[in-house]
Amino acid sequence: MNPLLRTALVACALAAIAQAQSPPLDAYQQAVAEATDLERRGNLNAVIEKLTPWVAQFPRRAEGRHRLGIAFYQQQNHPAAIEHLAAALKLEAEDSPAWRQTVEHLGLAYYFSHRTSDASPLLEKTLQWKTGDTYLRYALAMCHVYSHEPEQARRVFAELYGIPAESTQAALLASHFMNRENFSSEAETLVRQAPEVDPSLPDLHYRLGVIALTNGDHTEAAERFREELKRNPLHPMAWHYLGEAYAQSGELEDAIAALERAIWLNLRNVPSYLLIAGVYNRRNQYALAENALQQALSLDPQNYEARFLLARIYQKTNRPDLAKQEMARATQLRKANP
Amino acid sequence: MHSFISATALLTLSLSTLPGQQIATKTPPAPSPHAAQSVRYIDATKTSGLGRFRHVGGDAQKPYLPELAGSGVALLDYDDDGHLDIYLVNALSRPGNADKTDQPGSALFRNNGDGTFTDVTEKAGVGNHRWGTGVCAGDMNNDGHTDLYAANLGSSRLYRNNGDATFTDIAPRSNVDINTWATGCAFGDYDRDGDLDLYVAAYVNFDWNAPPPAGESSGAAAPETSSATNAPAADQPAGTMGAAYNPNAPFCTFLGLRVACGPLGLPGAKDYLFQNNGDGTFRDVTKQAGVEDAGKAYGFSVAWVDLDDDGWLDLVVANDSNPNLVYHNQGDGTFQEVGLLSGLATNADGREQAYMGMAVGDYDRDGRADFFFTTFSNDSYTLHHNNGDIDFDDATGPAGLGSVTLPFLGWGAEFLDYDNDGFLDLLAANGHAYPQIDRRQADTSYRQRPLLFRNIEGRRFADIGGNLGSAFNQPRSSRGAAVGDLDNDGDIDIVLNNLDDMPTLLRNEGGNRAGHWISLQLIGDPSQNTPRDAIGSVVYCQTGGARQRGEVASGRSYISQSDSRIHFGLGKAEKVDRLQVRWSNGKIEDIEIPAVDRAYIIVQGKGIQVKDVP
Repeated sequence: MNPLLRTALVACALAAIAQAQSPPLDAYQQAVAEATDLERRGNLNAVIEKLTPWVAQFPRRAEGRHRLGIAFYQQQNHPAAIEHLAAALKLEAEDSPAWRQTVEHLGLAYYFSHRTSDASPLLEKTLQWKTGDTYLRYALAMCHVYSHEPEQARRVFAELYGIPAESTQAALLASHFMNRENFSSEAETLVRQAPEVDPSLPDLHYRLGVIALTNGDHTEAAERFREELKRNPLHPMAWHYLGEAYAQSGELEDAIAALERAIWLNLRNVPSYLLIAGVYNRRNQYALAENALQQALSLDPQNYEARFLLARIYQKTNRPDLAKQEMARATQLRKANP
Repeated sequence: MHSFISATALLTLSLSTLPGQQIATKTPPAPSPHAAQSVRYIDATKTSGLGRFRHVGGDAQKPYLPELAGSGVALLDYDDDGHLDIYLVNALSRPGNADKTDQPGSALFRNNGDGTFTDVTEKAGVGNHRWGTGVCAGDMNNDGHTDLYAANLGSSRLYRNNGDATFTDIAPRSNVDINTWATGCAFGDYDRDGDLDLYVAAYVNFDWNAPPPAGESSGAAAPETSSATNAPAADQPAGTMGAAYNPNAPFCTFLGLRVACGPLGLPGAKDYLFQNNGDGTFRDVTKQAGVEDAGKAYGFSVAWVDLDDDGWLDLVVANDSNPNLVYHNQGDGTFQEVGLLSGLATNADGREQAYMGMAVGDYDRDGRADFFFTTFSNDSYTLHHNNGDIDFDDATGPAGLGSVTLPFLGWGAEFLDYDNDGFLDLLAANGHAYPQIDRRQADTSYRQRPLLFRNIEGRRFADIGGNLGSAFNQPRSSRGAAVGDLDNDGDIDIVLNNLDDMPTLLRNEGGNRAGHWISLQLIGDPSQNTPRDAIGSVVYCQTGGARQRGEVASGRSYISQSDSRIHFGLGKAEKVDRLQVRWSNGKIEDIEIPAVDRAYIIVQGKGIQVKDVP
């Protein structure tokens, strides 16, 4: 046989074998289409079941990776979503609708997986075309909080709340969130370094008081809350936290006076009733503690903490049967809502 | 009372380490004005010879729960020479419950009385060579020699002291060779018949042959991009307990990191109460005594304490991620569980915490035993004040122990008067559960410095790490912790059993010059129904207007055992006005103490003898 012909025949045979052995691409595309339909109907398990083997066979095809990643994301299986969306991102055409969806979901999957430095650039990019999406902006701001980037956090929070980034209010906003996540020293620095800090700015001293309370500096906290209340005596939470600062310092009489004021300004504030009950308990004023807890329960009958504390008051006041009853109710609530 | 701010802080998720940032778990605070002048801790680990021991606990990345729990340490005078010896519990370098004599086991170090220690494990026969967890000591047969119970993951052991510096494992014939994940244990004479009974806490039903999914291990890259379903959302709580096991998830995560599963989600293991038959054997009375641990809580540390001073030993079990169990002794061989109503089972808000270690001591000198518990990070350690009548209030916030302990994950816990000022200070041995945490959380760390809080006149505590010297503040993965006067110089030293590392011996320098002291070893009379080593007996020491309470105890801390001698710091007092012993059989004896700065042996019914320590 002519060597050329022989070579050609061998090549044809090999190609035929290869075609017979490799899965047909159109079947893959059909599977992706079916998966898209399944996803539309909310059947995520079926999407994952259908696509997983196809993605294993076509790891460098974007469509399967994309759909599978989105399905995992919707199931809150963020590590798996990251695996497939990160692969899709490299395969999809930049700025295509699929690519944009991948950028958004991958950014959020990173965010939910606490990989904030990976999340930030993707969320920032997504906000270029989803400018009005408040949750994305909140997520981006929180990424900056977790990454200890207070100035970036301030910028994004300012955008989120529609105020100038360089304003003192923006610093207060970012400070609030930094402190909420227990980064109290950075929170304090943000406030103190804010330009043109006006001591009469609403909430300035309140914020500093909350930071001091988080730091366990109860004396400083009380001072700050008092300053705030000079400017705004109608601030129930400032009274509440002033009461807490006093309570933590052992100044129980002052704590009660502050907490009473907090309650009178907001009769529906359950935490203030609980806190004042705790202070009464420390002063062995069990009847008053019981009364405060009953008030809390009248506002929120499912409040575990109030029921727990009430059971303890019954026990302290030698009413063991009532105590056991109330503790059983508290335990039920706790089991129902751990 | 707990702070609402602190409650918010429980939601803390702090991520991404900032280079150069000072982390409270690694860097001590500035020197405190509240600290005693010129008291330091010196690291004597290597010079003492204790550095020859190295703890091993499986894989360095801790893919399974037993590998991160570490082991305890006991201080006991095993050879009756007047010097405290050290027993360091070891786990194994690889899983398995069978006898692994080819691996480093637990070790007994004899105190040579000159600041050095000699490894006498082989001669003493206490190598254990199993997955060792906790330890407690007591003279269970009233022969005058201290015996050891070694709690294991697997079969636990009871080492009877033969009185000739050797031990014999008598667990099988004593009926205490339980096969479970035993953790903490404590001896105590709950029925007041003059011999020591034994309580053993157990943690999780764990089978190395069918374990839950592994966390990241040294042999595998961090599979953060593999399938998992229980990664928490970034704006949800990080959790104040470990990574819960979810049977529908391929593995467990904490802050998105693949880590060891549990204990939450895993089946708990039941605890045991063994009554001493008085003939070297025990019988399991768990059910009939009413201490069944019906919820199978994840038990760690155990303390026998007379909570209401009625003369009967009550029982407290510190549980990880469950309310503590508080068993009130009814005086008829049974107990009533009163945890939640007592206020001792949870924090002030009624929330259970990941209780690891437990310290017992009268910090405010009102004559009652108060409690301190170490917990998981993002949660504060908890101080409970004893009001009497088995009623406790959470005193954490007012005592200044709230915010400062939030980033720490604590294990060993002990009250000790480090400066002999007459107020009990607080020690916490720390280290995060997950090595991976350094990749995620900026305000905590895997290795953590220990905490020593000075008691300010019985009202507040101040972190005085900045005053104690750099040796004290080294970040470590500490677990077990025990305190005692190892060099008999009148101040309290510290031993830490560190995970996957050598232990730490911190020698107190200057405590004996900061204040006067007395040390008391009690010897009970078994014929009067007091155990010979007097465990459960209480001593009240009055100087001026101050009255301190001390007790002879077994177990406690984190699955560890401290010096069973009672040490009182006396401050400037140069004499003891009154010393009263309430023996564990209920009899009360007044003892005249001739001079301070001395160690004494007090024999029931026979008064004191000056101890002649070489």
